[in-house]
Amino acid sequence: MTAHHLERPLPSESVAAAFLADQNERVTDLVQSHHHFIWRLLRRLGVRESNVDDAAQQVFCVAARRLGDIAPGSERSFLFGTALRVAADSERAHHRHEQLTEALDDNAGSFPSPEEALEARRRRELLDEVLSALPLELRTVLVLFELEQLGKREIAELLAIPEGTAMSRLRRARLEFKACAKRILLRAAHGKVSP
Amino acid sequence: MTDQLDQLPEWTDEERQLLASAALDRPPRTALPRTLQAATSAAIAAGTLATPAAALTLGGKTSALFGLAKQLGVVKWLALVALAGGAAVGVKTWRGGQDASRVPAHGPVTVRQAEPVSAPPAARVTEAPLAVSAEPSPAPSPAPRRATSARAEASVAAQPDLSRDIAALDEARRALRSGRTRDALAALERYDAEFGKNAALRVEAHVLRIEALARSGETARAQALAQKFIQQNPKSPYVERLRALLAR
Repeated sequence: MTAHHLERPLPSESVAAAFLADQNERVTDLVQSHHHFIWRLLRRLGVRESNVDDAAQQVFCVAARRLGDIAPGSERSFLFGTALRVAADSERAHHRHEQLTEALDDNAGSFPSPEEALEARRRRELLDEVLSALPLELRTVLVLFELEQLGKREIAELLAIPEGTAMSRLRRARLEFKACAKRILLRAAHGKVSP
Repeated sequence: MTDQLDQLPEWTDEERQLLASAALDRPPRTALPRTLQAATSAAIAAGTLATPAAALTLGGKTSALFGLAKQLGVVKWLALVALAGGAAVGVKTWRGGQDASRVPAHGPVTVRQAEPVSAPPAARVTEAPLAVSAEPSPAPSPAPRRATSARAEASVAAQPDLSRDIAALDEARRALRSGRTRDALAALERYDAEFGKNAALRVEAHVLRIEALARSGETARAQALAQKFIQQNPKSPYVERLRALLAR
């Protein structure tokens, strides 16, 4: 890798170069550190599978444009907030109960048999249905606690609410999830019964 | 009346199984690199528009330069900017001059082969998933390099070598980013001592120092310095960054 130097870079050019290089590094750190988390979050909050990649890109592009506003250390909060907004917008824009296409995913190889892979896929779809039946506020704490397995303090920080509020929200979320799951699983079981 | 973890309603096995189905949620392999590329160009677009026109646009033609960046591909643009602070030179080298007509004239600009730089500018760029080193070397390059190497050696000594400045500040930046404010401040002091008042990146160093002070808890001092900087340099690209600092 060779380096090329301008004949006589102006001081402002070198500052600008360093500034841009710094931006680039921050963006790289941002994406590498948080991409998976944000992608999973968007997926689990209900963004349609085919749109998750784009939604994640959107989140990071917003962050990249507003790097100056993101204090070092608060990257995840910022990304989280942006992801929530993107998920909420996506919910408004699209129908919630869409059948997932049987896309060949990376996970297909993790199952010993195609039957098990199919079963896992079906369960995942049911989970999507149950989650989508929850209001976003409850869905969010549930996803963070049950699926991301964050602690109550982390959740409270991310949502900028007191821990007590986070816990009572989680309690309501569990109850709501149970009610919706019962209904949806029952419907699914009845659907399997042959006439 | 707050809920404790042990007061939460228990999950049944079936519900647990349902929740467990999400364990395999994972982005496809291409998602991260694509997001990185998109976010990087977004940052550059924002950065390009924020910097003083003269600094990067070789006469003020911001949009032409960005269009050029798009044509070259974002990653090459990053390399060029990070290393050379200007795209005109890179265009001549990477594309054999075919885009030269789109580049505004910038006086006598020569392409040089500097001595191999082991400093971070190269490292920083190649750390990105879309590594610049993977780019194919341009066809016409061997000849021009040989021709200019003699001249290059003679004049390299006379050129300000930014690579060392960038390396020095890089250390401070990394320390700051991982919360090691004392290390960051020490690195910045070393930079000031070594490169002096006329250091090429003294503004960047100054801003880093303010951020380090803020992060280490010396809020009053950091705020005072930040305010003074903003007052004295209202058009600086660092103003936004410092304002965010002051707002916290």
